[in-house]
Amino acid sequence: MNEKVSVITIYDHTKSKAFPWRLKWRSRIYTITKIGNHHTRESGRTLYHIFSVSAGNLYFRLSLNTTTLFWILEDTFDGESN
Amino acid sequence: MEKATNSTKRTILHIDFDSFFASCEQQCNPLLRNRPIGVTATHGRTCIIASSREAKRLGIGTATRTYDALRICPTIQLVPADFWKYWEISKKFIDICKDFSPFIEVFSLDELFMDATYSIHLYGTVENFVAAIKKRVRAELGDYLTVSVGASYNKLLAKLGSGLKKPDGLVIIKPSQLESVYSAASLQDICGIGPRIEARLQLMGIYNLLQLRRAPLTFLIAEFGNVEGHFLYDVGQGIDPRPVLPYTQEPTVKSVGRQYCLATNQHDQRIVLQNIYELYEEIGLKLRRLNKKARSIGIGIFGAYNAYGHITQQTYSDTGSDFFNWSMQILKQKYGGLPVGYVRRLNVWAGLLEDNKYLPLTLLPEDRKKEKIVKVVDALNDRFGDHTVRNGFLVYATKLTTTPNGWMADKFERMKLAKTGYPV
Repeated sequence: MNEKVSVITIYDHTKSKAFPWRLKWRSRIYTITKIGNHHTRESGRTLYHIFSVSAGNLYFRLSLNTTTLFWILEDTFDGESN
Repeated sequence: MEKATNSTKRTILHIDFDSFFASCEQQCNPLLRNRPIGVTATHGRTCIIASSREAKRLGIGTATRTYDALRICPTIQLVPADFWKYWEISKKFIDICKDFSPFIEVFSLDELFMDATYSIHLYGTVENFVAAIKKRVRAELGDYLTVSVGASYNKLLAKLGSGLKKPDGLVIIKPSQLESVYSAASLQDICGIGPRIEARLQLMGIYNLLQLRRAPLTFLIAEFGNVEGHFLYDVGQGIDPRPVLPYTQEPTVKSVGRQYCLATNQHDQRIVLQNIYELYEEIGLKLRRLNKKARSIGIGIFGAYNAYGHITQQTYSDTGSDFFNWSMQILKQKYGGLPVGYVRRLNVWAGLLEDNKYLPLTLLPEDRKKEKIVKVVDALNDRFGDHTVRNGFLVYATKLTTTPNGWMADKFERMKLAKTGYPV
């Protein structure tokens, strides 16, 4: 998909964890209810943080480019088969 | 490093993720949980490379064609593989395990051996030790990822144990339990015995592990030769002196290779050549990262015809273009060029490696210029990402990416892991 999206993140200093909390995509706001996984990926010298998250019945894969600090929505899934 | 020993006082664990690739996808995406899913190659070849527990229950396993999988279960969800994600999760797992013992051997992307002989006493029993590992896996990697553990006094039996009770199991094999475990397991449950060896054993009248246990060494050597005969005899006796080789030990690199299945059966010769070139570029890049050069290369082309061969040169090289030209020499000499017909799979490798530091510097100006260009291109690609600058022949070609595969055969990734000592 690779669409730019707006994301509000939270940094919890007690757990030393940062994670996305709300996402605005195509004028709609989604509150993230579950973080499935967080991992990193490198492309050249740019480090990307990849968050696999779900908001209700929707799944999103978000990537944060740590050079530009831009968020990209890479993939979504609504539970429908293939 | 530990020495090889036949001691039955060691405590070796084999820790294996359950349906790893599929479970990773289900961990990341909760909407896929409790559903049959199949992980497929990223470019969409029609074969499932890993299936979830739910799919396995329906009879959909590794290597099932997607056509057959969809016929068995029309609602199966097909997910493209993401090996970087699996490798990242695997590295986190290694990071957890090294808190329990420094003696960890990464066996593949989703399984490892751990020598817990010197740390098991901290937890009292094997059960407590394994429960602590499982608790950390659940807390740090996710609630949907589970591991099965085999515990015994050597690697052979630990590996056998982890496969006997899945998912989320623990099987402890003590020396006194060997006969009873062997009576319940089959020949192919042993790592190293495949369908062909099993068939040969059956021709000799050996149908199970208990019969193998009673087979004389001379009998096995007469059929299988010295090495395989000794291995099978040791399997029968439950002997495995191999030590757990810590992942911090740098691997020996004897050759670098890559096998690639094209997205479709390819008739276009230009695309086939581009893929061969791209694969050799990847081999060259891996060699440069390992500071090595090769003077022997091989190629295999499989599809409507099978063409393969290798060539050894007097000079060493680490550039994809040289390897590609050498491979064209092979094809020209053996087949008069690239044979006509569709191509399904390509296989390339480079061998007879030597460290750069032992090789003389070239005096030829054109070779020095070439080395400089390769260095600059590598620097640009390292800075801006793979394929930023590539040979003109590949301008419109598919971009093949190097990813760690399921067997962790990529020596560069292994080397990086060994050098850093801390995977995360």
